[in-house]
Amino acid sequence: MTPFRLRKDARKWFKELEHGFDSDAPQFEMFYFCLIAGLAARKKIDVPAADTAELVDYFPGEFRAKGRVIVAWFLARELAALGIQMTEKRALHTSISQLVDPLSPSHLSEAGVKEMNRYSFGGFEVLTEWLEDSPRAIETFLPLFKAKIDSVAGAE
Amino acid sequence: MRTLLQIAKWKVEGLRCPDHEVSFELGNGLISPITLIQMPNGTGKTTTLELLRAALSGSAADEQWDKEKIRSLRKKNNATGRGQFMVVLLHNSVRVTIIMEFDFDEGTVRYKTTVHSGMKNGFHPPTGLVKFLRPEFVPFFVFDGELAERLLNRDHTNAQEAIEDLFQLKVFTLLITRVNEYWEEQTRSRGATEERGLNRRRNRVQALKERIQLLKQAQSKALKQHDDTKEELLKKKNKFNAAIAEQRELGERLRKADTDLMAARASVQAAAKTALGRMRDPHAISASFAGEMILLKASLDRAKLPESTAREFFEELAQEAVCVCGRPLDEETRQVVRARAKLYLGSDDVALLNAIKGDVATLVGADAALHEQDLAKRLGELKALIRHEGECQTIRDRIQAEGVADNPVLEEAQKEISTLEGTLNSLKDACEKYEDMTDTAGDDETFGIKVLERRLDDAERKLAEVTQTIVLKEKRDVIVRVLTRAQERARNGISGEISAEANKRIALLMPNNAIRIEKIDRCLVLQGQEGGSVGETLSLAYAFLATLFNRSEHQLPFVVDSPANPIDLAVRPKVAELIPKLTDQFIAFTISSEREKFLGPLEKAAAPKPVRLVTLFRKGAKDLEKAARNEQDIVETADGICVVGGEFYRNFHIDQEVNNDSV
Repeated sequence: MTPFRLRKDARKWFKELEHGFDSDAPQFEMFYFCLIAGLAARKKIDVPAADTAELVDYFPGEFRAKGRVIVAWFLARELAALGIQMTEKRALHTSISQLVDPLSPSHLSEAGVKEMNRYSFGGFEVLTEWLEDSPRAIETFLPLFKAKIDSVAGAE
Repeated sequence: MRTLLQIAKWKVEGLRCPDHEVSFELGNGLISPITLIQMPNGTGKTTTLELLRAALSGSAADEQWDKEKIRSLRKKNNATGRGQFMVVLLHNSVRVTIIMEFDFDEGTVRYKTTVHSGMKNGFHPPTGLVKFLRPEFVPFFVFDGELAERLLNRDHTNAQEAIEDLFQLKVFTLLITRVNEYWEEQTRSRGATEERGLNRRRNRVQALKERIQLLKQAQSKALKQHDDTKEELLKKKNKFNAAIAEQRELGERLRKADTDLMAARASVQAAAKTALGRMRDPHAISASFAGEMILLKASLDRAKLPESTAREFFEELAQEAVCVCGRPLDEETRQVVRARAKLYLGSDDVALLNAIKGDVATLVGADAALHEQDLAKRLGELKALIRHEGECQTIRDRIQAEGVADNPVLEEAQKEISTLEGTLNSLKDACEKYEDMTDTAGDDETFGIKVLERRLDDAERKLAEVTQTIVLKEKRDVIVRVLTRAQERARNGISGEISAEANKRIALLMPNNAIRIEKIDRCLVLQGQEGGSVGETLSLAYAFLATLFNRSEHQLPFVVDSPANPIDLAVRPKVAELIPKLTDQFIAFTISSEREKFLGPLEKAAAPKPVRLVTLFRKGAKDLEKAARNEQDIVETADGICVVGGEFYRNFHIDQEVNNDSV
């Protein structure tokens, strides 16, 4: 199954928070914050595989129960990016079929994981635009991240 | 194989301590389990211990001791110019004799080793003892207060290494080396179709190995510098805090401020954890995100997606002769049905879409703003707590600044702390470069060890391709991976268990003391503190070594200098109770003042086994000599008297050698 991937520079950038995440899957936490930033800013880019590190092919730890909700938001943003109206039943059906795979532990098809990874890659660029310095502590990072998300979500 | 090592006796002649022979043999092949050798200070306790360590470790062999050191061990008025130290060991009941022969005129020392009846010149312990009888390991069982301190110091004793030796964890490293050697041998011996290409690949593998080794050494050095600086910083901070605490009123205010700050910090961490938990819900991060999820579900519902009929229904229908409406199906119609079946989702897809919709309904609900409001509340609380922490920090800094302003020594110390903090940050960066995952520069410009290890793996695979040893390489990789993981798991498991057991012993030894081992990382790392008092350190070392020796399948003798002297009277009985459980043979050098609260509890704990009490002193005090000669078990040499017996031991009251000119 296709794994999620984290940019190596993102891992370095988040290094100080590794313990602060207090998680069994700290690298997935980094992936998640990049993903949220990428989806929020609707930015997805390609990054060479050599500059990324392979993570797991499922939603680990704390994210296990939230996997399908994350996929739901990803689908909503992706369908909007493809310009598909919710009333176009066949187009909707075709696009969803291409992005999801019920047999995959991430619920996503290979194409779906690839697109989600692209949002995460783009999201890291968004994060470095938002924050001048890499985060030093989880307690200061979280409010700052939320404020930046609000500025993007509010502007839409 | 299990190792049982015991000391049967030792004998000293012509050296700085009085000539003597101490035997631990009780007859019938039995060895005294506990022996206390009482020697006044200045009699040559340190010399005897030094000789014992040298005899057991071979540390003076091959001219490792210089002439000056050797001559310093000569007895005053030694006319022969020769001296000898002999120790007789029982290794799994086989006698092993090690002799050190001193020639003071030449300034040399020569070893002789006898196993069974075969004598060999030089230090040649039996194979089964080699790993224990070496300079790095002997101090663990011929032990003094200095070693106890070193157990806590990364620069000196390697507690981790002792564990690896006793529990034979080095077998894994040895196996990995053997496996690698075998593969290398195979790639060397295989011919290649193109010699030039083969050499190029071999050279790359070699160059990468060398670079990785070089970088690992540099990393280890940088980490040590980092750890040393961190330790120094901690020491300086502790010293600084202690100096402030001396100013009673200021110290109390500072302690209170520290407590408040710690509490504020803990609250911030707890609030951050809660907020992070909520932020793992994308629908809590923004109401608009939640709105999009709710809209997706509603739209899918409106579009009747997933349909109640799945693709499989139409695929099966296309195989039937008659349609569900009763009309016959021809091939053309079947093809149309098959083609249109693709427009429907499969039953698995249907189940997944329903599950996604279900999760949106359950986790997100119908109110898009609800979760964001909850997160905003938690982030608000977090910000308030961060502000409070900042205030606590300001108050603490202000109190400290007050103390510093009135005291130039503290001001200087604060400057040093600030400089060290700067150095520590630079060293942290220096260490990080070895963990860099950037994979774009050439081998010589790359510092990330993991990146280079990956390149080495790739280079070895290419070498295996050309030498047609790919399958062998894959097997080697699996074996090495399994062995490496097994070693790491064994090391962590054993270290963890030993720390936990040693902590139980420390709690028994010092119930009112919070000193505990946090982990074993090269040395013993203490929880929240760097070191302890002399007594604490010694008690800690006993607890650690008792656990270590009890858990290992090997039984070694345990020789200690002054087991109770630096320890509080209250702790002495507890240390005494621990001793019979330490090992099968315990030998301690004591002075008379050590008997109080130690000898009684020790004899009680050892019962029914007796404690052998030996008193050794230099001739000179006539009354003492006369009293000794009244004892039954006495050995008299030219300058020393050795008495075995409880009464003489208990009535002996000299802590310091009367006339130690001759020492």
